[in-house]
Amino acid sequence: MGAPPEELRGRISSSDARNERSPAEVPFRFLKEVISRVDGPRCSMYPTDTQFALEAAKRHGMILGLFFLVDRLFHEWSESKRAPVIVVYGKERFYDPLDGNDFWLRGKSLLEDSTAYGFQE
Amino acid sequence: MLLKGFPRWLVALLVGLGVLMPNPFGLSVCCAQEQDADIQWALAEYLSGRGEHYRAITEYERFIFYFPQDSRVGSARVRILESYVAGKWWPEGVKAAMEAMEDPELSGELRCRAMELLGICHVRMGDSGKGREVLSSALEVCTNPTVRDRIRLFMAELEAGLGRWGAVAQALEAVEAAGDPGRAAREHAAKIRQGELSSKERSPWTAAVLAALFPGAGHAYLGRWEDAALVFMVNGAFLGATVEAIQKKQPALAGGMALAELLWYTGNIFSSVSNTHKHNRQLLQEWSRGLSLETGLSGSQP
Repeated sequence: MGAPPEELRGRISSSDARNERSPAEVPFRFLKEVISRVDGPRCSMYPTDTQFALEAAKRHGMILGLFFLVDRLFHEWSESKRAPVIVVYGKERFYDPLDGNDFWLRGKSLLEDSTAYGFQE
Repeated sequence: MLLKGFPRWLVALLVGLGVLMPNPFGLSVCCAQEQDADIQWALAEYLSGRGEHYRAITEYERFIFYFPQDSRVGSARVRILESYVAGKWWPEGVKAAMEAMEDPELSGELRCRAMELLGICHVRMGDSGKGREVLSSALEVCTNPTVRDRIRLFMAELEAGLGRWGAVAQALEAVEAAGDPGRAAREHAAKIRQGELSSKERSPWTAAVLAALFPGAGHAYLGRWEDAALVFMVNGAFLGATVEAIQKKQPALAGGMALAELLWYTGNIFSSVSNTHKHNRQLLQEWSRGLSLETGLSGSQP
């Protein structure tokens, strides 16, 4: 039994992912680290739009990353009435993770997708 | 004197044996071992109860290693499996289930539980076919009606996720529970047979075609009126800007605007399809929650 527990596994995979930077991320990283800093932290969603797009680009490549960003911008208004509210850094935000949006691209049904119940447990 | 009449050599021999073998009849060793096993078991159970599944697994394994003859070894194996499932550690769960089921002394009840969890692990790992096969076998092995109903509920949710509504209704109709839970399951089955849930589902193809014909219509089809209005306004603004740039003979500006409009337009179709899948999943999740609440059985989160 050499494998670490779930919570540790999450941390390890995210730190590994942080070290691997693909060219697909470059425009989204620019958007997040340059444009967003000038624009200010005003996003009401969690993860923020740019972080969402960055994660999508990492997972699906630049083109789909861009489409996911457009999708997030379009569906934010309605989503703020449906998504659960969480507190991040002392501010209330609407929780809309990539896992809850790209499951259909991963070809997973409700029970097959172990992330489907993630935030409730 | 009590020892009067005993040969001295016999007394010496008995005393010597007592020194060399502090427990010649094995009585206190047996009780100390039982106590140790109880303490070890209690520690594992305590950690499991606190939700520290990974540490609990280690303690259950320690229990099996130190007390292989204990009657709770089978339970410890199933507890390890339950801990893996609780920690969403599906591949390890499959291994633990196989190990548990290889134990010839595993009781029928524990074997049933191991099969149930093995099926769940297969499904969670994305192998619904194998999961369904294992769960069907578990239904044959298990004798406890509550467990059988729990498995049926899980199978109903599995089939619902795959859009196999006939199989969902069939699984719910087979629920054995009497009273409210059984009635609730049968009511859900009847509603599914009438197409109540499937009629609320939306087609990603229809959403895509509507969005392609008229930007925003795909979102309106899902009842996302605010999004529909936003999509319509953004697309309208960029399309208008492109036309205006062409009319004012500004080819560079027109090209840039057209490119941006192309992104919004294709993004509108993508967003419609994505939100349709999201809508259908939310519908399923709500139904699944309602089913668990009304029947008092939780299939998907055992």
